Formats: sequence, structure tokens, C-alpha cells
Amino acid sequence: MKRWMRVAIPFGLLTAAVTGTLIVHAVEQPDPDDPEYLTPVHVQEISGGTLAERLVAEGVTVERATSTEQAVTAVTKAGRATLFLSTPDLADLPQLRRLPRGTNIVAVAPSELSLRRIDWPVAVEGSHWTSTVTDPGCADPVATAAGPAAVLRTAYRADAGTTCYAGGLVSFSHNGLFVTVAGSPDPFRDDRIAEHGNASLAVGLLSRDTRVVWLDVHEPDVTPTTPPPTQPTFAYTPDPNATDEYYDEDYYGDGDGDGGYGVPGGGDGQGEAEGEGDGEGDGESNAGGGSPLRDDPFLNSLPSTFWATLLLLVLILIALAIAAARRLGAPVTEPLPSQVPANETMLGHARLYAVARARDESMLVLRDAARRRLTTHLNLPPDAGTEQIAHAAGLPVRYVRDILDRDPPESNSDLVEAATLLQGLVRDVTGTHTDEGDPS
Amino acid sequence: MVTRRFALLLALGLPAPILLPQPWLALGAVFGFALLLALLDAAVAGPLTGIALERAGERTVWLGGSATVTLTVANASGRTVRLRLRDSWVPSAGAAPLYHKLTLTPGSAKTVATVLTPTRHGDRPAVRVTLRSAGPLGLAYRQRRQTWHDKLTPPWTLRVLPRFPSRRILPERLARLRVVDGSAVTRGRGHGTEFDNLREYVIGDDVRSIDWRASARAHDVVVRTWRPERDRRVFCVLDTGRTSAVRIGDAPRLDACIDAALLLSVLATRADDRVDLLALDAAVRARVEGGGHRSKLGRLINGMASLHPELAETDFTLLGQEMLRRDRKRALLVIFTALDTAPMIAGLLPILPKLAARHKVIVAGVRDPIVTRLAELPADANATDVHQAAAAHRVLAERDRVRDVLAHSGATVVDADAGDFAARVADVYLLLKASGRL
Repeated sequence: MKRWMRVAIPFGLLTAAVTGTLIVHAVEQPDPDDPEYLTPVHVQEISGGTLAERLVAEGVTVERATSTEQAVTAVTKAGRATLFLSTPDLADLPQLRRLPRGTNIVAVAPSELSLRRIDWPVAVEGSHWTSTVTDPGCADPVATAAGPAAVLRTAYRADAGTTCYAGGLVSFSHNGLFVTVAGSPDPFRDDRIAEHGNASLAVGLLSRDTRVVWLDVHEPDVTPTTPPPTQPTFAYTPDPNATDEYYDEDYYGDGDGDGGYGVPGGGDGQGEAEGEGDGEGDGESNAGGGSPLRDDPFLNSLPSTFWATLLLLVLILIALAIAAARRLGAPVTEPLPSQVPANETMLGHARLYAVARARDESMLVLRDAARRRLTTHLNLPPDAGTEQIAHAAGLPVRYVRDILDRDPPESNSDLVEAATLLQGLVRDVTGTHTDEGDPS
Repeated sequence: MVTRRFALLLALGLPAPILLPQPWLALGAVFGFALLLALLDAAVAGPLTGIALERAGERTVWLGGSATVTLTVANASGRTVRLRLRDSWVPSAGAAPLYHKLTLTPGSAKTVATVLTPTRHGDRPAVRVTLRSAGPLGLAYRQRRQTWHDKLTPPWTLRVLPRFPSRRILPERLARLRVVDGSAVTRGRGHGTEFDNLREYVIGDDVRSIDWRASARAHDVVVRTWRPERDRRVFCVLDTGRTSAVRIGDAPRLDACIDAALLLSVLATRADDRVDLLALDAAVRARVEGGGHRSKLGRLINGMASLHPELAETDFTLLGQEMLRRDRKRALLVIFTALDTAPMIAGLLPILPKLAARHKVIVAGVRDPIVTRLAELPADANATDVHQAAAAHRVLAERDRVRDVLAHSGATVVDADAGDFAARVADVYLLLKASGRL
């Protein structure tokens, strides 16, 4: 095994395990886009059918709404009601400002972005890998009655109001609305509602009124209204210290002023602007028919100056690309000479000897070469023995035999010593340093 | 086609959509204005059809030197042409500068010079001159298709003569040749076997050289003088096959062979021998034979300059067909090749006895100096050095076997490191010349 693989394999396995776990975890998470997610009409794993049935059993009327507009209308039209936001991230939260005072809202795991959009005085404090069961730890009667429940996944922090389940359940009043934010969908899901005190908690939260409007949206729910042209950013980012009256007036003022919204210069041929114009009077059709990008309020809020400048920048880049694309003459090619060194085979052999630790073979080659040079130099027949060589060279036979007929080298140091002795002997006898290729 | 300046013009218009009340209108105005200017510029730019090109300059250069080739650009049109010109050569021609800029008024001509410093010998062609005519504003230009430029480009080829590092040892070898020739020493004529002339006997002359018949006629003792043979034939055979392509140091083996062949050719020409050249691999690549004595060396150098290694096995039967022709006179056949076992045993060996029977054959092989260096153990050797020495000795032993086999077949083998290869070949020639064995 190569050395780098010894390091790479454990780390590779670890990386694969971590990546695999993350992927499986992500896949296992219920997706608010899933039509089954916390819907009251089905009784399935991630649906909320069981909860709806239990609410009905408690004598609570459950009304399902498929858009925020519809839900707000349903809450507004008759008496007090609790609005259950099963997918607050997909709902058109700014519309909730139209809700009558005193309405109960229960939102399931809203994201930081959604909280900022609706400007509730609550922030995400952290999130857990899975839903955690905790004790209520507060005086809220519903939580106390329910006992331990698996509602802590996203932890929230509210400046005012009641915080239960270590941030898993936060209740507060805001602009006359009584809002409860639950940190996990588990207590409302069919497959988890029976665990711990989940059922009591979910039913308790939603049975404060005799009527529950269940907002069941699984696609981004868009509003037909947009901010006025004088405000390029969102019109619903108000001063948090402002009074309720201010918001109501501001909001309703927007809703009434039908003629005042739209992108400036929207009449000069832009598709976005036209699509928007069509949707002015019919919020439902616009929400169903327009693409998410086209109806993105952020994009719609950008002025046409921005788009014109952007297009000019693109044109500049295209001009630069065209200017660079045309070459002044194509590159010229020619065949390259061979790059193979003459000694490649020889060095390859040497590496093979070294890798195979072929000490015997190397020594054999060196000895044969030495014998050949000695016999040639001493004018002896090629098969002359060691004694003949010793006599001809005038050296002690034992000395020459020790060098020429030495035992095979056992170690590298042995090999180096034997080869050095052999070279010394040849140099002593022939008096030369290199193998000169004399013309024969 | 637009230039970068066009993009710059658009960039200058960037504030317009921001500052003006109608951004889309401003955008359209900026783009339309720039486009209009660019179109006008392209329309006003000088036409390329009136341009004529002409080349002049050096045709040959030694490798390592520089040559200058000029290009005269004439404008026959009625408008001023602002040209940007690229003179493309093959990369190994080392052409610089690549780009030229010139403005040609109607009817005028200007000359640009390209300095070539080639990196390889052989023919280095000029490939293409590409022209671009810019408008006066520099927003747009005219440029025609590549095929049009190919037709317009005047052909030119620079012949790069091979490197001749053995030039430095040439004077010394020529001095030795003069000694052999007898012209450089005061005592007597040179050694040789060819009759030169008769002169009076002086004390010290070899009595065996006395011409008794002439002495009788002249009433004095007259001796014959001898000189080395002249008008011998030397046939340089360059193997341009795959074994010549491998690199020894930073140059192909063929370069070392060409260097040695050049030295031999110069020496032999000075010694009044006739030098011919044959370069072959799978086919005959170059042949320089016959012709005048004086122009021969130039033709040989030219012939060698065009050679380059082919990745093909050398077919020595072609050599046999050439050298064993009935009308072929005896020659000194010097085969510049590599003493690799397989090509020698399978290729040259079968025809070598026949060649050696009719000609004097020298087989000259270039050796990589690294083999000799690695065969010797350094002072602080380790096991790797020993293995390398063993591999080097293995190569040397194989080469010795090839040398023995070739020598046994009647060839003289020269096997030397690339550094002194040419000198060794020249020495063998001088030895044969001095001993009258050519």
C-alpha cells in the first residue's frame, strides 16, 4: 500500500461517513414544500390529520385555508379564531397585520428570515440536530398541562413574553395579536403526536378558541400588493418602536392605493412590469400563474436604472469578449523533437535493481565487468581464473580472491564495500579510471 | 470587428442610464452611438486588398546565430492604412518581435524586420503574415480570413545549418593532416604510397626510394618521393532512424553524428578526397554525390541541415543496395549510427561482410557520457550508486559485444562519448590516411 493511501483511506472513510450522515439527515427532514407536510386533510407520517381529528373531538372547528389571503379573510369574517401557520416560511406573513386584534397565532418553526419579515420581537437563538424533549420550565398553563414535549429543535429568544421548553415554545403579544412560536413540528405530526406530552401541547395551543384556521400552503404564497414606487425597499420594514395605529394605517393605506404601486418605468416594455400590471386586481391568479422569480418582490423593487446599467455592463463584457476573441493570426504548430533520453533504459534497469534489492545480480554484473577488464588488460584469455589474474597482476592470490570471489552481499553496506573494493582492484591493476572505448 | 476601445467607449456611457431620467433610452442611445462610431470607423479603415508584401534577408544561418529577415509592406490603395501585422514563423525559428505596427500612406511602403534565433537546425519556414487594418478612431478594424492571408504571404524559408562545435578542434586536425601530407615539415616529403615526383638524393633519404632508372638517365642519384593518396572516396552514411532521435544531453544523437560527419567532411575535402553523403532510415532522406570539388562542402552542409530524426527502424539493406552497386568504387564508408544491439545485429550485421569486402567500413556510434560516468562509483557511494554502476556496466558489456561482432565482420568501430566523438572519428580517418589504408 502506498504511503499516501494510508493517510487518505481513513480520512476518506471519515469524510464519506460524515457526508453520508448529513445527506441522510437532510433527506429525512420533513419538507414544508411536501403537500403532505402538516396538512389537516391526511393522516400520514408528516401530516397533521390526527391533530385535526383531536381538535374536532375537543369541539374545535378546523377550517383549512390554502392561501394567506384566504386565511386572513377566514379569521376576520367571524368571531375569534386561532390561526395555525404550519408553514410560516411559505406564507405571506405581512398580510397577518390585517388580522383583528386578539387573534391567536401559532407558528411552527419559522425561520430567522420570516421572523424578520413579520418583525415579531423574537429571534432564533440556535438549533438542535433533532427535536429534543424538555420540561416546560414555565408557568404557561398549556405547557404545564402537557408536561415534557419534543418541541425544542429551533430555540427562540423573546425579549418579552413567555419562554417555555428552553426556547422551544415562545409566546408573546405583538400589535394586539397573541403569537406562539413552536420550535419543532414534531408535536403536530401524525407520527410523533402520541409521544410524550406532544398531543396535549398541540391540542392545548390550538384549542384556545373554538375555531382554528389552518393555513395549509406548500408553495411560496405571494401577495398581489407591492410597495409603492417611492420606497425601493420593502414597505413593511417599520420602526419596531412605532405604535400599532401607525402600522395599521400604513398598511391599509397601501392596500387601498391600488394605482400607486409598480416599478417606475414599467410601461417601457419590460415583461416583469407587464405581468405585474395584470395581477393588480386579481391576487389569486397572479399567485398561481406567475413564476417565483418574476414575482419576487425583491427583484420587482429594483429600479429600471439598475436593469439598464446591468444590461450596459453585459454589453461591455460582450464587446470585450468579441475584441479578445478574434486573433491576429492562428497559432502555428510544428512537430516537436523526441524527448526520450538515451540513458532511459539504463536508469530504468538501475531503479529495478534498487527496488528489487537485487544485490546479487548487481554484484554479478560488476564482477563480470571487472574480470573482463582485468583479463583484457593483462592479456589473459576471457575465462582466466582468479589465480591467473592474481599472478599476472602480481598481487597476492588471497587478496584478489577475496575481492573477485567474495560471498554474495548480505546488506547494502556489504554491497557498497564489495563494489568499492572491486573498483579499487581494477584501478590498481589497469591504472585507469574510465572504461575507454578504444577503436578495435 | 470591434476593439477593446469600443468596450471602453461603452464603459464611458455607464453613468448615462443612472443620471438621465429615461434609463432605457439612455442605454439605447449610448449603445447606438458607440455602434454607429464603430461602423463608421470600420468603413473608413484602409482596405487590405491594396496591400502587397515582399520578403528579403538571410537565407541561411548557423544554429546558435541570429538572422534578420525583412518584410516590405506596400500600400497600393488610395487610402491610409493603419496596420497591425503579425509575422508568424514556426516556433523553433525563434522569431521576434511577433507584432509590428505601421501606418502606410497611399502608395507608400515600409519595411519591418524580424530577427530569427532558431532553436533547431533544418528548414524553418515563415508560415503566415496576418494583417489587421484599424480605423482612425481605433474602435473597429478589418481583418480577412486565414486562407486569404495564406495566399498573400510571400514564401520564405530559413535554412538553419547544424551546430558545428568541432570547429574548435578543426585547426589542430588540419595541422595533423598537413603533417601527413608532408607540406608542413621541412624534412622530406610526406609519407604515402602515391608517387609524387623525382628529386636529387640528399643524405638521409631512404635508399629504398632511389629510382635507379631515373638515376641512370640523369647521371645523378635520384629518389622518388611519395605523397598520401588523393581523390579517395569517403562516404558518410548518417542513420536518421529511431535510435538517432534519443537525446544525449539536450540534443538528439543525430546532432552529434552530424557534427562528426561535418568535421570528417571538412578534413577529407582539405585532403583532396571526395566526400559523399547518404542519410537513411526507412528510406533515403538525403544524398549528396558528385559535383564540383569546391562547392561540395557547402552542398554537404546543406544536405545535413535538412536532416531530422525519423521514428522508424533503419533499413540497412538500402545502404547495401547503394554501396554494393557494380559501378561503385572502393570507398571509406563511415556509418554514423548507435551501437544498440538489436538494430546492429538485425540490421547492419547481415550486410556488413559484403560491405567490408568492397569498402573500408567504419561504424561510429555516439555514447551517452552519463553511462561512462555512472559506471564509476563516486567517493561516497551508496547502494543506489552501485545498482546504477551495475546497470551502466551492463550497457557497456552489451556494447562491447556489439563492437566485437562488428569488428569480427570487418568493420572498424569507433565508440566514444558525445564530447569527443567527432575528434575520434577524425583521428581514425587521419590514421587510415597516414597509413595509406584508404
